[in-house]
Amino acid sequence: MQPTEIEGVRDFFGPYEDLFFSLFQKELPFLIWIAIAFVLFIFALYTIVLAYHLFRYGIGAHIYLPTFLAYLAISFVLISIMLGSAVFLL
Amino acid sequence: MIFIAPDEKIIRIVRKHWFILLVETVAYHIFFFIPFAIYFGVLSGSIPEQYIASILALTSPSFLIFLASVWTLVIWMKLSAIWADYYLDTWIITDRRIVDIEQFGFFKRSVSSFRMERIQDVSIDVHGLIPTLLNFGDIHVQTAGEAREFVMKGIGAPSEIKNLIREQSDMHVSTNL
Repeated sequence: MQPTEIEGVRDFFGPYEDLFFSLFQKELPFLIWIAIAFVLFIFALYTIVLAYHLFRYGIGAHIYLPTFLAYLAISFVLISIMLGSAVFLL
Repeated sequence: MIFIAPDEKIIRIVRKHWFILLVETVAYHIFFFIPFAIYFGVLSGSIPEQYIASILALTSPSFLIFLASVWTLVIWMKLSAIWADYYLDTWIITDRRIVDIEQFGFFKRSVSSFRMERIQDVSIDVHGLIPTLLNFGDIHVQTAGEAREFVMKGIGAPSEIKNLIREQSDMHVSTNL
């Protein structure tokens, strides 16, 4: 017999079902805001430090600069996806 | 900041072998691609529908995309930090001295330099199958005075670097005689 949707949830999360329901459904916006703030803070910190190292210690910066720009480009793509998906959740 | 005199010539900038970077980052590369692997697993039907239905009953696809983007972004930043650490950890060999720069994370940096005429002994240590096949190893430079030894681990073509240092050192000593 195929499990129903709720039985499937119970099978997957077991005794933590209530906790997961609580986190994902009741506290979701708060958790998302915290995650966005945390990730953007870390991103800003990393970017400032990487840029500082580039301009201060940049011997052979012809290699560092394109890599730094690639880091920025991919980060912005990922941040856009993160914020884009968050719009549907908040 | 490293100050190189106007008439001082940089002979070579030496970094660790790419294999060292690969070993340091391989786990993060795997972690980076986990969300993509799950996505393709769902598309190809490799993941049982029961699990997919269970997760979607709790949350929405937007939330999963959000989690995946946060995950990949954090790992991407970590990879960038490892790369910066690798890139800034270097030896600069000039015609007068060797500058040894060791970067430990973002906020710890050690810079020391020693003049060519102070070099007493240069030795290399290639240990193991992979370093032998890929031609990388450790290089040890013993300097006079404080009996200090400078070590750079995992550099590519250590024999070539050793010969280069020895040549520069000999040249410097002979011109100063």
